[in-house]
Amino acid sequence: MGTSLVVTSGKGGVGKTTSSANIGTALALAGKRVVLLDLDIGLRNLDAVLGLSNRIIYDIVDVANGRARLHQALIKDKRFDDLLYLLPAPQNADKDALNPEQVAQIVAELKPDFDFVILDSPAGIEQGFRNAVAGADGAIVITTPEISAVSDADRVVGLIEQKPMSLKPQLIINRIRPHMLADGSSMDIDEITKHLGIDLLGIITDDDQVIASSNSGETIVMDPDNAASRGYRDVARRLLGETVPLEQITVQKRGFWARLFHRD
Amino acid sequence: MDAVILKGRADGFELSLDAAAAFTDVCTRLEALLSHLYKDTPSGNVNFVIETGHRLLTQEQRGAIEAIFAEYPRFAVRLLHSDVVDADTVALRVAKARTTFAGGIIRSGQTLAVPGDLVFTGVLHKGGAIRAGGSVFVMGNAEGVVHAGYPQNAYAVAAGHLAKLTQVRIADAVEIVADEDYGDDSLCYMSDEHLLVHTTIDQLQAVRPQIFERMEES
Repeated sequence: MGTSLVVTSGKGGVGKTTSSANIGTALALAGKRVVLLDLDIGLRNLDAVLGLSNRIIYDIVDVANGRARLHQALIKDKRFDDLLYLLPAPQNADKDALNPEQVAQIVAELKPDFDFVILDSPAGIEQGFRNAVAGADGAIVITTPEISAVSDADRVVGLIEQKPMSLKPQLIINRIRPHMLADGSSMDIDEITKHLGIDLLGIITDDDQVIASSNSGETIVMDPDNAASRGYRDVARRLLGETVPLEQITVQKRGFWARLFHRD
Repeated sequence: MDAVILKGRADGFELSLDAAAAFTDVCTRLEALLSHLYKDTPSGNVNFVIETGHRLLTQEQRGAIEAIFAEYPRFAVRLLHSDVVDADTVALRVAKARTTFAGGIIRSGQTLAVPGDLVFTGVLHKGGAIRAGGSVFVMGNAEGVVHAGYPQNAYAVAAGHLAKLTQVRIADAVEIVADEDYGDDSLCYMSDEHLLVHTTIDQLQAVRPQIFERMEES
């Protein structure tokens, strides 16, 4: 029986979809069977980040309404043998086209066949959020080291705690800028974790390559040398029960000549 | 004039219902006529054509006529014919026969749907869709989904600039363009085996002569 995890944040643009895709990919790379559910009805993105947009025929609302069978709607990512699947969101359906019971039903149907069911929640705390949370055994809350994102994350943690899941919510701090952390202009990792009062699952540094790779339909996790990729791989290992120390975030010092010739 | 008149035809019997008579009168008369006929023809099955003239039967009226016929097991209605068609049906038929020319931008999440053939000269963004009851001819820059022959017209084709699309669909079949080698002027159609096949547009006359001839006429 698999575990279902909702990836949520409250605030938009902090990297829910990117994190869902990368955590899912990292777990698949570790040999686990993973299915990703896009619950952002009307504004789907997960398919684009994974480079699977052109394979969508049926979506989650088709499954919920009985227009398609679950296996017809699942899209297999051919790069990962039989390990990574996507259940896409519709583009045209109304946001009320899905209700929490239907999502819970679909997740329950998927859990026996997969090790992880990852639900990518839309931004906000309305219907879409309630749908995503309904099917989950645990939550991964994404935030960035900004006051607005942290305060929205706080609100979301509060909502999740009202209806406790079987697993405790865990935190990922995304888009950390090492130089801002070093000069003290960004919120501190320990400070955020302590403020939100939930376990820290991982930290991801801000990296141009994350955007570049998703534009080409690949996830950063596929690049083993990238710092953000290592962050997501560590998250996956922690989800699988390993004890992995937090990566030390260091600012790369530029040499004298580099500073002289590449001023910016 | 009687509400129902029985006529002989080369291929059997015709029951002509007077469009000006009340429907209750038609039923009474039909009942009487059939019971009389049933006695006159003691054996053998008889098929009738029912002509309703300038009257359109509602679903309930059809049911009433079927109920009368159900009493006479050897009698059956072969065809129900009317001289008139309701305006909605005509409008749809006209729309299906017409070719629509469309341009503009179809953005992600939007769908342009037409009942007949479509010549598309605009821009179709990724995530957008164009859907036609007939064939689709793509002249513009198109990256989304093109669906021809929606929902069940397997004779329809998709043609033109298909190479950059994400999917081509005809009737109930789907092809993912990235997996295939589409050229600039492509033609996609459904084969006799119900599979989507793509070739070049100059093959249109060979694979779909009727569509080709219609284009020649207009």
